[in-house]
Amino acid sequence: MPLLRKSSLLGYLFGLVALAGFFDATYLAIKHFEGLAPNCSILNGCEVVTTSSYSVIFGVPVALMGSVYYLTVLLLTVAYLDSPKRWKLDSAAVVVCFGLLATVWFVYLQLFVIHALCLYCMFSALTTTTLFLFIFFWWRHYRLLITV
Amino acid sequence: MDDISFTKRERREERKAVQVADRKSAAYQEKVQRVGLWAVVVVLVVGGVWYLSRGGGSSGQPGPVVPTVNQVTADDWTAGSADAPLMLVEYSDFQCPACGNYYTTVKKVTQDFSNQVHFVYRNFPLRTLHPNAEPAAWAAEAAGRQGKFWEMHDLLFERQSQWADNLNTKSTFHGYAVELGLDGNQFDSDYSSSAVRNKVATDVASGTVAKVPGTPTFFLNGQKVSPSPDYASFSTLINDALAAQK
Repeated sequence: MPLLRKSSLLGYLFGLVALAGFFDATYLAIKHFEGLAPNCSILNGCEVVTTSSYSVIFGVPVALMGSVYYLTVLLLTVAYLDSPKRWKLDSAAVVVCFGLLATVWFVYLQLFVIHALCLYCMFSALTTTTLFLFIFFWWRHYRLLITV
Repeated sequence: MDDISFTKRERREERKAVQVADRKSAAYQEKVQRVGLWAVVVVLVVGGVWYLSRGGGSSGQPGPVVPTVNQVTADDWTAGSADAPLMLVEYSDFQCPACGNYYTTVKKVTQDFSNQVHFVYRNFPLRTLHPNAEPAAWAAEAAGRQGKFWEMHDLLFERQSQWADNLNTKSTFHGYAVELGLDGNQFDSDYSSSAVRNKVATDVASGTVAKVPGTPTFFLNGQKVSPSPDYASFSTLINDALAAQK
């Protein structure tokens, strides 16, 4: 049974949000490897945050991890839109839950430890929260959307 | 009678053929859609990464020329006579303890041999090992914009243990700048400027090209040398090189 339109539309929106997150994280990762500070016009803590000792975990830049994370979510979403299998949705949900945990940690670090906010990082927090809300809704209404 | 039944069968077959064709084209359309979906995603992802890495929407500027180990550029920080017969290039990291050990010796050697050795300092912050090394390099470069690179360079090495594990090094370095009599606001804006960031990135690129294995790494007249951090090893090395030139 093919997907209902409603679920499909939700899937495309979800994919777009993941894509936006991917570009955001990739931009930060590229800046990290180039050794340049990202352009920050609104909030003025970008270089403080992106060069802090928390920007690298076990030698891997956090931005690169974010980039891989968003790409994983994006590919799972597209795979699901291509042929809807429950496991793809479940996997995406698990990955996004980890993403949300990481987001909470990074926002905590920015607010209470580093005392500086980075615009790109906050944008990423927004995209991951959005993804989580989507997943939450999607998951709860899965049956409703698929089988009518 | 026969005629009619024949026509009926014919019609049925025709209808069937049309149905098969319909189903085929629906399957074909679905296939096109699926391939299209993946194609769009791949193009977006690859194109996006390509655009970003080309410096799209960023502070990126065309890369300056990367200096080599036997060449001094106008952007380099140097000490000693430019006409000296020897050129000593150091790739160093302000947060690396070994560089801190070499610092006193190198300073004394470059002062004592200022007519024989043209000394060049280049930044090679090991970012993964020393998270504060790159900000320190920015601080030295920012101080350099106000004419006090070497003063900041000395201060950073002398107080390495005080800032190495700091979290907000920017304010610490700001304090150093003010202590050196620099304009604090100017220092802050230089510290965050893309010019300073690019200068450090260029130094790093130069070290990467020179295959710098770690810090500090020294090149004497373009040849990699590995003296011990004591004065005697350095002066022997320099005296030998001077003797070899005669």
